[in-house]
Amino acid sequence: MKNTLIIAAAAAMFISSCKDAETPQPENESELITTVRLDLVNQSDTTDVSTFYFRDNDGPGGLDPLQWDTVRLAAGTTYDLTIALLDESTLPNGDISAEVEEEGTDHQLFFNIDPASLLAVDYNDSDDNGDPVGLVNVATTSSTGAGTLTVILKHQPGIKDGNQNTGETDVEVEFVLEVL
Amino acid sequence: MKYLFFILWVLPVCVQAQHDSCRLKLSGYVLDKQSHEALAFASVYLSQSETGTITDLDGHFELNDLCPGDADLVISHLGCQSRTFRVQLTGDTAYTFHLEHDSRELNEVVVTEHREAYTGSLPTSSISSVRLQAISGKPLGTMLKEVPGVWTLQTGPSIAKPMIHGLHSNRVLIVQDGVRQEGQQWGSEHAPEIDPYTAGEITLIQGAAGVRYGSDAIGGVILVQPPPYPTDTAVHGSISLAAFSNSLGGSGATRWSGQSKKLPAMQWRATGSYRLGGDAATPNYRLANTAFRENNLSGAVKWSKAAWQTELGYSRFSTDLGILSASHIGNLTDLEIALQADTPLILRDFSYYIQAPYQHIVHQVIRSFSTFRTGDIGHLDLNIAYQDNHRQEYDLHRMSDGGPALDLSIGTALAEAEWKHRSFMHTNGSIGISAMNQQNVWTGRFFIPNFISNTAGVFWMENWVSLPWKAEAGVRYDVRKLRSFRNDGEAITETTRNFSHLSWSGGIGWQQERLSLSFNSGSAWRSPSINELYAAGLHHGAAALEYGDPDLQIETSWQNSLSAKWESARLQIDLGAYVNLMDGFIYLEPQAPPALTIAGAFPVFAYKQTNARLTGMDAKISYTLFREFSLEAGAAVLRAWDITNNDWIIQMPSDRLTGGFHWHFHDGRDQGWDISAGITHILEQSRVPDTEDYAPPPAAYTLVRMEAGSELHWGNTVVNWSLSADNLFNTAFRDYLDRYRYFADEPGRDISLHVFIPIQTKNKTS
Repeated sequence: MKNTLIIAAAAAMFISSCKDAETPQPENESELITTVRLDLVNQSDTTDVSTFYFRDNDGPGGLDPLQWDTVRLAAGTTYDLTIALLDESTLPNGDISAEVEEEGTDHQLFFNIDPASLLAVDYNDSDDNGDPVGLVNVATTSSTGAGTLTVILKHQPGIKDGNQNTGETDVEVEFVLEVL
Repeated sequence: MKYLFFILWVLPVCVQAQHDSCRLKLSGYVLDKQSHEALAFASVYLSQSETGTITDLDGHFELNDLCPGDADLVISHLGCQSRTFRVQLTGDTAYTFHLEHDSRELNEVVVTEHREAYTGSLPTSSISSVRLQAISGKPLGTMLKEVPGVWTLQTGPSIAKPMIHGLHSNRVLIVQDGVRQEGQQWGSEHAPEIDPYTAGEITLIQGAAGVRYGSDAIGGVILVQPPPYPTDTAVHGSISLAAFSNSLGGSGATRWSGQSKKLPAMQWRATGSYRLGGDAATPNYRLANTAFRENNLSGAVKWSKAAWQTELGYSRFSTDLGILSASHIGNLTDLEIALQADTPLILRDFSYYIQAPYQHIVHQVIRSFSTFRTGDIGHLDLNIAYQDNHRQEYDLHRMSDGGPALDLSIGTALAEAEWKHRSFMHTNGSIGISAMNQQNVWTGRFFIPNFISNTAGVFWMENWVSLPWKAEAGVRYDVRKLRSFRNDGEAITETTRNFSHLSWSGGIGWQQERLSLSFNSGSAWRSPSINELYAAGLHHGAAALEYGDPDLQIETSWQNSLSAKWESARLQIDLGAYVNLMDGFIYLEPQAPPALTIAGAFPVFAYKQTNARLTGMDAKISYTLFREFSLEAGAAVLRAWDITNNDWIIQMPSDRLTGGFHWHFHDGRDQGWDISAGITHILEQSRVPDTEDYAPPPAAYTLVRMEAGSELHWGNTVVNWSLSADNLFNTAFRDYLDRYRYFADEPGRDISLHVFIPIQTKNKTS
């Protein structure tokens, strides 16, 4: 009989602690990436700066992307290409590229260009193991044409070996690419 | 009460493990029907084997070495007319017989209590304690696969959910020690938090058993029942050990039980178990990060007096489950790459190490069951329990605080009162009420909201037996109020949904010496689960966007099942057929087009309702060719049709055929041996909806299993052992009901050794 009372008391205590459920914490994705920004600086004319965005501020699902630029570059030009990954769903904006740089040995950016002749992207940074991360690069165009540039960020903890097909995709954005 | 804290182990014993067909045990009590007092020196005689015994001072008796089949028990006691009762022996069973002492009403011996808890007209199957030993060390879901009509929904080798007649998760209720298991059972990758080592017997009710067990019991109910307490003053113990070659894993459990010498009214039991496994191996590679660890404790104390009994129990289940590294994907492109690869894209050397992604779950239950005599007219059962389920899922992406990405904590308090009236005009029955309060709190990433759910129900059922006929009827009404809370950063919004519905059941049975037939028609229901209503967002690791529908209505099921049994000395036939019509069947529908996100393309799924028809048949035949050599064959067939959309329903099991033999013999030293082999053929699932799946259903496959077991004598101790080989020919295959089928093969050959050592202390009399 005592048992019954004890359990009833435990249950009563529990029921009276329902406040927890009634006051949920705000819903926010930590580590949400909403924005990919490409900054291109012409190596032979550093005042020639182009910036292109992909923005989806409410994260995956929900509303359609807010901004999805066409990447327009000049033919026969060499650019310094840096990638910025941001979380613009909160204020102040989260700087995900800093985290990627910090955890460089777990991450790598890949650039797929179709057709490949449009643009060559060479890594110009490295993680603690001396492997490329892909936040800082050199991009070179030759002839004119149109195609696509896909920017991919892979999360590859413990398995990073330059293979684009392993790990989990954090970012995969296909930009329309025009070399004029 | 302090006993609760000091008993932390092990359990009973009792049964000498034999794979033997003629080593069954029938035990029980003979009580006075009016006073419920023990009847000592009552004679219990079994006609078939011409053996008998008399009850001890506690009214307890035990008959050993019985063969399966019908058993006619003649029970007599001074001042009573002797009565015959027929029971069916399929495994070790315990009954309580109530003998009528009143000379005016010498009508029958009434079985009022039975460990099989359910005696209605729905088809049931059970796994006996002997069989549980032979397959020990496996998760509950995998064990239940032995029963025809039960499949498992898997997420790799370590996460298995039972699926009864095509239904799983929130449509199958698990009841352990009389308490319905409540956790995050909506998730298809959330395995039941049950330690099979605590079970003395596992019984499966196939069909809508909503009247007795409440909402959610649509597909069926799995009853995990503890072994009975010993009735002497000796301390009974046992050690169970198992080793598995595939995962280089093992398990151990120890169970103890006894009766207090100082306080004879007090009985106790305790169980402790541990399971460990490394990465499982397919025939061609290891499945990286499929290691697991599990440790469990449980104990109970029971106090019995003439007019009342009460039991207090506690159990704790804790597990860490690795998730196959290659199955954690970011988007559709990742999935396509994985599908095109023959081998998983992430491999590692064998390891016991569990890395992210993994699940960590702790489930605790504290419960009390009491029964009180209510004069001469019946007794009242009171069941109260509180359980806490804490689920933490760690993603590949570490959270900034190092904690789990998904953290769900759900507490459930439940209370049930059931008054059972004594047999009146061949009729037994009960009336009861139940109430449940549940609260869920999340932290980490959002997937389902916080909620508070309150449920109340009232039921009444009656059961009439006058052999060869029996009939039953029952009705139940439940209400549920679900309040959910969301915080968008600016304000907290509360949404309330109310659900209520009637469940009913009726059945009729006819039983003759060899043939028994029964028909059951019943209706059960459930309210939509929290994820079906409110899931919103990315299902991490599964590369899918899932959207609940807050306006979903209840799902109801009307099920008709027919079962037939034929039992003669040589031939046993078990047939079951069912039609399950479901209104508002909730399912996940793929939506077009895929959503374009910063992480690439994601398929979009939304919860929808439709009307469904599930039709199927289970069959099992066994034939004894010569003494103790029998052949067995079985089949399970299911057709699941979406009536509204005129299409098949996704993720339903394909047809299964089984065959095998079982041979029991004694060697020169009169030592019993059991050898058996079985073959299972799973057909390719060709009945799938047109809506595209990521990959077509895998091909048909055939697996062979072999088992051999015997006994060793160590002094007075009889140690039972068995050696078995699953997937004997190391066949590489994939299964339609395993989510890993997109990424990797199923495990290959697994050779396992199971040892059961009973320990019994001397029966000291002071």
